[in-house]
Amino acid sequence: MNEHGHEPTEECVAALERLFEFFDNELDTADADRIREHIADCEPCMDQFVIADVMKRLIKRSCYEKAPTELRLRIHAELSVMRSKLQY
Amino acid sequence: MTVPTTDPDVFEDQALVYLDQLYGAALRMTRNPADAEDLVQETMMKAFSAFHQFAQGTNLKAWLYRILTNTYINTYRKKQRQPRISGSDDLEDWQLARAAEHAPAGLRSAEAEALDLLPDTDVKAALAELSEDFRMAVYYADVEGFSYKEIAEIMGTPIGTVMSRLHRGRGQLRELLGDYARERGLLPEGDQ
Repeated sequence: MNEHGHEPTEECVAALERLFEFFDNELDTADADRIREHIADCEPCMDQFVIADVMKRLIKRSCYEKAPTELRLRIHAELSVMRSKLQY
Repeated sequence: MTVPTTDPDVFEDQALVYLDQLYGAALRMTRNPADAEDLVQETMMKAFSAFHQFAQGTNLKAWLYRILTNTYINTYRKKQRQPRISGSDDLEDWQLARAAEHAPAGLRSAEAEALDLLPDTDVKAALAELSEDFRMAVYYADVEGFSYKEIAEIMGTPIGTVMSRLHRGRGQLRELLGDYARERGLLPEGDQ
């Protein structure tokens, strides 16, 4: 079995090379359209895009943190002191 | 607006909005809540002192992240343990990111489904195993949604280096997450 699911074409190679740039919205419209058209027609390349997307959502979900209230209060107190020193 | 935005009185209102996010980034950097708190506090104090230098109309969030990064490098990095996976910025092993791109179709969709089921603890543990530069590039892009240009400014590197770090960081992370998924029986053993 071919590992890519079909013989990877030059278009596949070109698309995969710039897949992250496409995924991260870093390409200009013409380049992005080229990759968008390719992955719409090429399931193995589309799967790579899907996995990048799954990973991004997973990381985002997992990394959400709330700063401890105590830290917020500590910063507020320190900033108040620093501000009062500036004013007098 | 009558009050200039670099007025010290408005700093707190503007900057504290990003406290949760800065703390999240600091936790990923230091991998330890006590250090993360100290790092964020020090960052806020430095940012306040330097607020008059902040350029109006530019990106306050990216500016705060740059101070966070510099503070971390100067103060905390020396204390950190070495990450398990070392990483240089050489382009050669971009192929790493490619390893999983050639799996048969059945495995690719199984991979996406398995990743989706991983608990947050596995994702954080996998991120912590990446080298710091790779970990933070992925964090800035995927969690904070910064552009490559902004990440380059925050990390003080050329855009090409950001792209390389992202490529390799995401590739390594994908492999690590696959390992976690196999350990949990979400993916069959032996499929790399």
